[in-house]
Amino acid sequence: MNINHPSQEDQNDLPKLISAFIDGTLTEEESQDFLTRLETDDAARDLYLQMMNADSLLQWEQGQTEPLPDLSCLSREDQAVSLAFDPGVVSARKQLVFMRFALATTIAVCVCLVGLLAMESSPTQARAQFDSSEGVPAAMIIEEQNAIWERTEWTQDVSKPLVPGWLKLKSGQVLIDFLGGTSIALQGPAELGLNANNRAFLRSGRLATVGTSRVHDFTLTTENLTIVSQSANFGLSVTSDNQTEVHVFEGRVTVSRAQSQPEKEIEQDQPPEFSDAIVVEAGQAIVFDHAGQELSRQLADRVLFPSRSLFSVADPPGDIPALNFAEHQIQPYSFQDGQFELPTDYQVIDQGKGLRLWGNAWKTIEINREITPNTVIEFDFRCAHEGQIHGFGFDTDNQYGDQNYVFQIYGYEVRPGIGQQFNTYSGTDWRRFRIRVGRYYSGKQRYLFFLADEDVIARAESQFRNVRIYETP
Amino acid sequence: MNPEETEKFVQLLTAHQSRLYAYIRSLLPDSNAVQDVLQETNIVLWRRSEEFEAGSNFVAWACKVAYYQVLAFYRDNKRDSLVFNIELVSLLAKQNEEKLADSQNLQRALSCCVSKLPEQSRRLIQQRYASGGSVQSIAAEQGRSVGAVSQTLYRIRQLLQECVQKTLASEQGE
Repeated sequence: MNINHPSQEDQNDLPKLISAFIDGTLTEEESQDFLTRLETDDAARDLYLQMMNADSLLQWEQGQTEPLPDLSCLSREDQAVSLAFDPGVVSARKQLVFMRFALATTIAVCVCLVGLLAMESSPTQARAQFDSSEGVPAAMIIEEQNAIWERTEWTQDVSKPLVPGWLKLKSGQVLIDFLGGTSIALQGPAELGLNANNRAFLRSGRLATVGTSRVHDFTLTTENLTIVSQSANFGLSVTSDNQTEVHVFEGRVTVSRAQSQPEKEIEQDQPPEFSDAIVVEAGQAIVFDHAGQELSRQLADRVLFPSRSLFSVADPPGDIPALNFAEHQIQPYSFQDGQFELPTDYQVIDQGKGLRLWGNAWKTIEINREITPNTVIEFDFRCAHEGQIHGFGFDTDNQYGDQNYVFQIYGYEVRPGIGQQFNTYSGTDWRRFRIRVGRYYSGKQRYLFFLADEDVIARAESQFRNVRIYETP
Repeated sequence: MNPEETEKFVQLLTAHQSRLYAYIRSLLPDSNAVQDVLQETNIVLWRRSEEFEAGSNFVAWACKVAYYQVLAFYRDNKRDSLVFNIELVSLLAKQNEEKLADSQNLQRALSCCVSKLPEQSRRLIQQRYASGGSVQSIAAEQGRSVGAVSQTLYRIRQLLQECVQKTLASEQGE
């Protein structure tokens, strides 16, 4: 143990830890670790004070919208009173702002919860929403393996986004990409309700979350249980007699018995965490009976559940040439390139086979390519400086908007409309990606754009090479 | 104190409010309690203004008073609801008193650096501090994750820190 001389890695993490402490976003474990370091390490205290002082001065300056009163013209007693109350004025102003926000948030949360409960309690209504093109997309089916749907109307066009509703899979497997960042492999026969982009209801059948390495929350409910996951990979099965099995492969999930009086949940404005919650760690499995009572514990078994490998995208047919960036004009993409007057740059690398982006860069080339449901893009990616978003996308008119789907493969930012399901890169070495983009785009696409987005300090870097676009069966 | 001394004392007190705030917050990282303790400290400083010798180190004296107010707060509140233990508070208090002695330049440099931030970052700073928004509330408002907002704030703080260091170094070189 080396408490007084922390490792270089620890020191590199410290500013981030302090920043999160200031924001109140440390976990309990991180908090304990941070406090230990403050208590035992002079340098850690020094850096903490440096950052905290700067933050406090910033907070003071930004929050102090009115000057302190001129106390010299007041009597001593009046001055004491005035001094005593002045900071309180600032505090009260902040509290007022907070209360307004809290009220608005509470109302918004209540409206959402009422909506979710109404959907769960009335499947007929949910079915009606399923076919509506006006609903907010929650998920997409990105791969199928011999999928046969229970009823004809449940057969989905795989390139269409799914709005909240029910899926009834008779047999086969499908890979469902929830737009909140979680991917689920569902094995038929199964009945799955899509509640939102980070929430689903398994009435029967078997599924496994096969999510990314990035942080994303996902809630799965059954008739009697609520399973909350933060980026865990786990399997869930519900039998016809409502016996439920939870197998955790990576990370951990919290399992709670569903409340019998859900209205209370709304009134209390609480997240789905309950007093009798059980934490199931990686490697563990628990079997619950129809009432949500624990029946037995065993080792988690991956073999029982569908896996992502079932859905691997096929190799390119034959020798598909890689894009030669040297033969293309590299142009700024829409308003995004160098946004906020930040630096943006690029360099063609690997004798034209690669493109390196730097700063706050969104660059595009013209490809004029027809995208079908079977179109796949393959490329190698690496990054030495993580930014907010690293990825790519297609466009018809070089005008970025909500309709443009961006595939994020790296970066700490999570934004609506930017898919997280491929945000799996880590480290600094080259890594190959192969994505069936035809599930997200269709028709003639004129532009292919790449990005290294960093709107704060413009130090993002992305390198792409061996980019191939091909059709797969 | 005669009226002239009173005026000078009040000027000192008002001029150093931000430092006192920073000092107290470093020992008591809970924004609501910080305002309360600063208020108490101001009252004590005023009551004891006769003890202050003109020309001596006001910041050191005021920080000492603030330190005891922080200790009183820790004493009067449940220990389990507080972040730091008393030993750590004592260590931090000693270290920070020296640091804050030269915070005037820091504050000026910080203001300058904030004005150089990209517009989007400045807006986030305003949301976080001027409007008193928590990271959670900002994330909800912007439809972003808490982690992403926290990470962005971290990057902004890094950027500001680098800028402040450069600014102070160039001022010293002049």
